[in-house]
Amino acid sequence: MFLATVAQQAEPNSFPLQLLIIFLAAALTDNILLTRFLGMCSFLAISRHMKTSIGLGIAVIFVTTFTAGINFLIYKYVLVPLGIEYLQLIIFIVVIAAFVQLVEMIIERFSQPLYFALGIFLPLITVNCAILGVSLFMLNKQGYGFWQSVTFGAGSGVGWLLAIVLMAGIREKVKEDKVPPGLRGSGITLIITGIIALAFIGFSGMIKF
Amino acid sequence: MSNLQLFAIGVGSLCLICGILAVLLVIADRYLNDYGECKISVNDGEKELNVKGGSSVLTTLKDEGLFIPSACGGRGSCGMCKLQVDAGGPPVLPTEEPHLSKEEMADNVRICCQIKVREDMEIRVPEELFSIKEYEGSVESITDLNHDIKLVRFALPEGEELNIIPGQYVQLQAPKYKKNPEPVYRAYSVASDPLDKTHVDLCIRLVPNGICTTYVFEHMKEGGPAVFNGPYGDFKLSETDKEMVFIAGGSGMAPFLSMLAHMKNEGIDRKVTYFFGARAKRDLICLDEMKAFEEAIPNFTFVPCLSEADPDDNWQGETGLVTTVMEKFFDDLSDKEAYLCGSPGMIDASVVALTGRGMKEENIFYDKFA
Amino acid sequence: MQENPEDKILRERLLPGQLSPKGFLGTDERPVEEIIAADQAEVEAAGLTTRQLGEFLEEIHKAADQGWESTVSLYDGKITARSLEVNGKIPCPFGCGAKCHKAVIEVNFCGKKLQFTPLDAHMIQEHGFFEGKGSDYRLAPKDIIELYNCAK
Repeated sequence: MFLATVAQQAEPNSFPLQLLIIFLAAALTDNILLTRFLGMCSFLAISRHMKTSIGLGIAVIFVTTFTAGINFLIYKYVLVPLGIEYLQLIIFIVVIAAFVQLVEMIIERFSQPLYFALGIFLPLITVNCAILGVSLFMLNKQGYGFWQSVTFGAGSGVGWLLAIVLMAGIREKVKEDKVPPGLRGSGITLIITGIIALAFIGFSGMIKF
Repeated sequence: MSNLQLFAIGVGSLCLICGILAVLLVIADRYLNDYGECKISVNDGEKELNVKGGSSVLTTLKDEGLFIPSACGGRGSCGMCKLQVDAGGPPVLPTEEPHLSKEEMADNVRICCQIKVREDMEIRVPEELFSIKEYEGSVESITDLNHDIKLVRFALPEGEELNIIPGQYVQLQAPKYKKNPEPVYRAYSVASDPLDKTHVDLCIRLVPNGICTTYVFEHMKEGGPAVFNGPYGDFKLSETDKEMVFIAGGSGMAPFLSMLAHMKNEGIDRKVTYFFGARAKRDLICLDEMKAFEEAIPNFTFVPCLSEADPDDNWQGETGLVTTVMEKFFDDLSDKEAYLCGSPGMIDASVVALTGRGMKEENIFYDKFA
Repeated sequence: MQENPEDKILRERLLPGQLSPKGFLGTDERPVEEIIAADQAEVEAAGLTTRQLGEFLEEIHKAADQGWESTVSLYDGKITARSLEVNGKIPCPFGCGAKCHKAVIEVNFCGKKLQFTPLDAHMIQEHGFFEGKGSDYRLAPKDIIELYNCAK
């Protein structure tokens, strides 16, 4: 509602507003984890503790933002001119893996505290499908330029962080509760994820672009 | 364009992109892992080492001839290679965490096999480490002291000597054997006469499933090899003339055997009472040695106390817990010193009993199994 | 499923070679979380908590320690215990900063025998961990419950 009103009042084509809308849409209405169920494996494994959830979430934001930008440039200036768009899947994976490796090395070299706060999550991210998903989905969006893609990446990352932090909060509570033995662990987590996802789908019902 | 051309473009560009990325990573790795020459200052500049950065502090120091005791060879599992890193160390790593207490962390104590030399460092190595050596000796004899304590006598390698202060301990290595996948070290107090510098006696009690004790009890053979390093520890007789109380049971007797031998050698005639706690007669050890010491040292009394003597022990001596017997002997301990050796539980109980009789805490010395 | 880095660090510490040459997991291949949950369910079914059991074992350890390596009678002679302590401490693999003395406490109760270490007492009390099946120091919850009922 709020978004819709803002969108109507402001100049429809203003650039910052467009970025804001892309960002919020990616984070909330189009949440990559809760509406598309991407990045589930690390989500399930890590969401047990709030601290690690936040760490992983921040690492995801960082990586989605940068890989979205890099992959956009590679797509536009390498794949399209050569006419090999069909290789995007493989190339994106390779680029993401190399980027993550490089970042890990740089962090390890220059900041050990940061390495132990974020770096240990980076190997998990290399094979996180949410990251690849962001790069692929941004190409499906019509008329995205470089900045739109980067914003989309950042927004998706923030959405992922939001989802895992919500989940961690709920799981820390559920830990104290009596859950039927068969549902303990992943079972109850998946059910809860489903319920949160329903709520998030409610967001997309609120606004139509 | 033909299909072949399309194929070539696809494969070619894929290979090219992967290749570029790989080269990028290799270059980054080469550049980022080069730490150049680093300076390590040991004990406020007592020693200055110029080393190549990149490897762990433990191996770097070893290459420079400074032996830091380590049981696991740098895998971070034994936590022995502790030293103080005042500058140039990264924050405490998760692999170090389990081995360090809060106080140690506050004192910059680190597990030196886990941290890399990345820049100039200032480290502090305890003086005693400079005199610690590893010995590859042999087992000379194994004697049963009672049903579960053995006295093992090790011979040092030809031409080598080990100088100990009575009360110090050595670390004995249990090598790989059937149930033990890797060498481990365990600390034992030296029980031998300090004048005999070519032998080391250890009292070893069987601990069920204990790696080192099982090795000693089941696999160690007279004449076989034995590796140990030391000496360590600052448990020793004070240099006063105060009357002394010794308390120890079981294998805790070891340091006192060495101390009593030292008193005999030096003709020290301080008054000493040794309370030995045991359950029944069969737990008592070294009665003959104690009798000999009582004859050789004029002011020495050995008081064995049995807590639950068997009826057929025909026990005439003291009964009850060792602390109760001690309280019976002394009303005022304020001018005496106490020496204890044993587990923390035993020592804590004795400290309570001793201070209850007026002994000052600074006059209680112990080898608390730490 | 991917492994939480914290779980990975914990599992590596529990495996042979990190803190103890033989490890804490024995031949158990279940995730640590599952081992803990299964044992906890068993203890709760008996109307007790893992904390109670751990504190109880710690109590026996403390009392047995006073015996200077010889056996002591506890709980009106219903159980006897002997603490065999050696030099050295072993850190808690759960990384809580606790360090336990290396020792084995032998307990005789109601015609049965049991051995445990101070680290076991700590891990049961604080982390509900009884070690994996097939580990040398694995304590079956039912044995400890029996010991508990025998003593109290």
